[in-house]
Amino acid sequence: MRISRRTLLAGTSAAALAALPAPAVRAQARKFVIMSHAVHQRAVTGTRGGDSSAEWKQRAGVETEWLTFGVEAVHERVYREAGLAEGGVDVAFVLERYGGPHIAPLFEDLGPHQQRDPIEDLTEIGAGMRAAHTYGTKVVGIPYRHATHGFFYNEALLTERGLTRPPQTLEEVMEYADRLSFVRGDGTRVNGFVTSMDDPSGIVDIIRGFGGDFISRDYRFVADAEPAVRAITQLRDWFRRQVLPRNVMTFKTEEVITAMQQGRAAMTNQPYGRFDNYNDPRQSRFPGQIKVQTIPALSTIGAAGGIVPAKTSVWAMAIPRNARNKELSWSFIKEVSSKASTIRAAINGNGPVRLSAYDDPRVQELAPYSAFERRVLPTAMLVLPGFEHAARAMDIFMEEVQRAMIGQAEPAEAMRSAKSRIEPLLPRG
Amino acid sequence: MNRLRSVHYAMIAPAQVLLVAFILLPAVYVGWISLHRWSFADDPVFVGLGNYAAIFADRVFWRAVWNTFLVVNTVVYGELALGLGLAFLMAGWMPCKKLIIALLIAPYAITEVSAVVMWRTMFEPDIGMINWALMQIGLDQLEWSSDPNHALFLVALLSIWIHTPFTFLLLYAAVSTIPGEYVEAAHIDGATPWQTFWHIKLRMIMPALLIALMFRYITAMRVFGEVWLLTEGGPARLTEVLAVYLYRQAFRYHEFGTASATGLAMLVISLLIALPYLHQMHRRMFRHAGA
Amino acid sequence: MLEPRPVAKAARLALAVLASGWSVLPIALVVLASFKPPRDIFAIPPTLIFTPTLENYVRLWELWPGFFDNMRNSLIITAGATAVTVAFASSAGYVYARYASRLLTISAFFMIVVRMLPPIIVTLPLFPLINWLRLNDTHIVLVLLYSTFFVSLATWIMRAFIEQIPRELEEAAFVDGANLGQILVRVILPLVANGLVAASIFVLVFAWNEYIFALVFTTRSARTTPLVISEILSTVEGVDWGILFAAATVQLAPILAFVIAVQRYVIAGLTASAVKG
Repeated sequence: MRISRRTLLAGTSAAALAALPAPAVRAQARKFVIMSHAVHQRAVTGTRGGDSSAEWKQRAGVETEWLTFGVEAVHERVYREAGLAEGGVDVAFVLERYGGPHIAPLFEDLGPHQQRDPIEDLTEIGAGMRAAHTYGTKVVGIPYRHATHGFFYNEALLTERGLTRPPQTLEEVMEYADRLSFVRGDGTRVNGFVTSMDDPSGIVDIIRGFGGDFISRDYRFVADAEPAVRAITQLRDWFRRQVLPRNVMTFKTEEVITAMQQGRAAMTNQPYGRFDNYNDPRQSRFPGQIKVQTIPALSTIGAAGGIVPAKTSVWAMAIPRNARNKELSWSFIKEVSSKASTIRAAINGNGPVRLSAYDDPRVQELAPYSAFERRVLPTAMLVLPGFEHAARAMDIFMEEVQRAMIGQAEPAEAMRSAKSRIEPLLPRG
Repeated sequence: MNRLRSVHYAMIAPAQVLLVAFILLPAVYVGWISLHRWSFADDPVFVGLGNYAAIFADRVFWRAVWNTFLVVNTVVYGELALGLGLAFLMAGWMPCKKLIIALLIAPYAITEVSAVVMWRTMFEPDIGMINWALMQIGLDQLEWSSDPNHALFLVALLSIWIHTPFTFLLLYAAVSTIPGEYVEAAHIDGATPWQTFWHIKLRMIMPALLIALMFRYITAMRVFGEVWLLTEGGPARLTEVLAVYLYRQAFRYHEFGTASATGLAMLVISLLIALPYLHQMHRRMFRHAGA
Repeated sequence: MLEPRPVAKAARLALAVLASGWSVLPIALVVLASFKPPRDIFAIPPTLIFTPTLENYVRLWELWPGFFDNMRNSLIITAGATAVTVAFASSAGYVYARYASRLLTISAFFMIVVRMLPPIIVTLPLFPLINWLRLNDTHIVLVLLYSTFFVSLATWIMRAFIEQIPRELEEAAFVDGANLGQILVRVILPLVANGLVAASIFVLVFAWNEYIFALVFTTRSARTTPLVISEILSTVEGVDWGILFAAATVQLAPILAFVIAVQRYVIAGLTASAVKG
């Protein structure tokens, strides 16, 4: 093959010309721009439950445009856009974990909008969820989607090890985890338990199951107390005995999902919404056999068989401070936050923030776990309360937890070190 | 026509304008940011050298410096050795030469994300095919997820895999231009193959070697995707490198001041590494200018 | 060239096969995985015999319809960046090859030293600037940025290449009354076609795969394929690995074909520049 220089030159210069004029999209008729993750677009506009924005679009006389990004990328973009003098985003979906009081000035206070033109029965949305996006008195976001952890187990593997019912207490979970760490007949090594280790959301459930916590609601570091240290010691022992996979340190949600789908792990704590992935016959080797329930706590704390205040995280809708027409933005938020829209979104696969959505028969049918999820929702807690240096605190905490797990420090020592490094980052008072 | 006229300055202007507009000026601004505390929503607050003090007091930063140093040197010299070996191999007798070269440079075209995902799968403990093979031949597995040394080794290996084609291409081009007469003359004079290699071949490709070395040093300093996608700097942030440290400051904590300070620290370190090469280049160019 | 002995031949061949295997294995696995049913991709032991399926490609088409539009953006931006880089580098390379002065030396140094700044850091100050210029989410901004980061290397290659052209050719054209522009286009460029390919290949591959700048400076109209791949990887509902590998394969195929097709010219071009340094 020989490229003649003439073709090459002609080709490259033509391409250069094509690249020069700016795309005309900016000049097109004004659209209502929503920046989000792809799941929000599916929840709002999905076909199974119906498009909650269709009627609104007609009434408002605008077209919507969804700009979707990956989880971390969407926040990066939203914050950058909101920092500009003139904004191009009308509504943004943000996760509390990426927020904090230092981000709050970038967004409109939604309190006055709610006073002026209220969303129906807003208080039905749990106070904890609303608080996740409220800083001081400023309401930055209206909750739209939650991801709350449940306890998943592979029933087929339980049966294989002679276990006839799911574990009811954390003690039983520990017993089961040992029994479920084995090599199957076909040579597959199964790990009894698996969780994500890239941030504290996986292990915080276990710490709470032992009666401890990471950072309390009044901003005290409490993971150096006895229950949390016991939990971390347990994790270290699990890691040493290979109840946890050898490469669990690099497990993110994706690896947890793959391990569960492939039957290489028997139990995990993950958002209830994962139920569909685990049981999807396209991807899973155990479709229909991966079940979910609430996360059991130690029998010695609270009532016997009590449940862990599971980790939750909350996506909310916010209006960037530089949005062009804030009333219009608010009317969109109001529309998709209504009771009817919440049900439609739940049918489209969304984790509904209104408890009443769980009473809808279609939701119950599509999400067999809804009874469990509804039960845990009132007590569910964020990984940590929001503050400016939350991201940094989570990184330090995971660093110390991993240090303890790989044996570079004793759990108590690692938590003391975490305390001394995290305390200066916490808000005072 | 050998007089330098303003039209000639105009001819280098477009390239220079790009560099000034998109790197130099932003860099000056980055220097200014590095003296301030600044995030998305706040106005910048002047903190003097506070950001530098903050990163220099952070043990993770120094760990990142050390890891970067280890990885960069392993990668650059590993690549050089591999690239050089392959270049000499391919320059000699070889059937289906084009096909083999095509296969050798294929990793250059792949996007990092796909490369890392596949490497992870291959090195999964117990079940990844490489770790499985290591076990079969009686060796220990690579515990890259829990052992920082193993993890850095894997990062280096992956990085070498991705970038060897670049080094190989540069060196292969140089090796294939070594005039046959020189080698034959040495052969006739009774030089051993090793002497021929050391005194003739290597010397002739030295300029290319230096270019490859310098460009790879500069780019290897920024090693990011290999670490971020493989371990995110874990376990316990023991495998963090400078670019990952910077990424956390800028994209996770949104602290642009410390991120900028880290960026400038990286620039200084790159300059220090490149200094010997720059010096050599300077000598050559002034000789050139004098001629 | 001396014909080596059979043992040496066998050893050389074995080494070459080993090296090719090391290069190609991970890529082959990605491509292979894209044709597997999703639940078999991570199956242990690996399923080697399977019925290839296009399911992943169909689902990529259905669930990520934007992917193919974004490929067009990638194509435009890559072509644009390559053209700009090569044009700027040829004209600068010519001057550096033919003339010398203190100012030129300084500017040549500047080209190398300025490249040592980590690219990620310039995104901070550039973002507001680019928005102010209304260049956000346009092809131009990425074309210019990618060119910036490769114009140094390309200039270096072009300079070395042009140095090899005898000056007499230009002088003859000059005597015939050609001006500088005509000399460049009619005399120099035709003789450095290989150099152009060599200088373009690096920016081309970079522009096709680049992620951070594309993430920061594009939203929709100029969005490139690496962004979609990373979005497929960053879902909140679990990664569909089949789709991911299908996308990776689609994204890889054209650039790989191109790199392989032009390798001869790249090597020829580099041969000219490498020796001279």
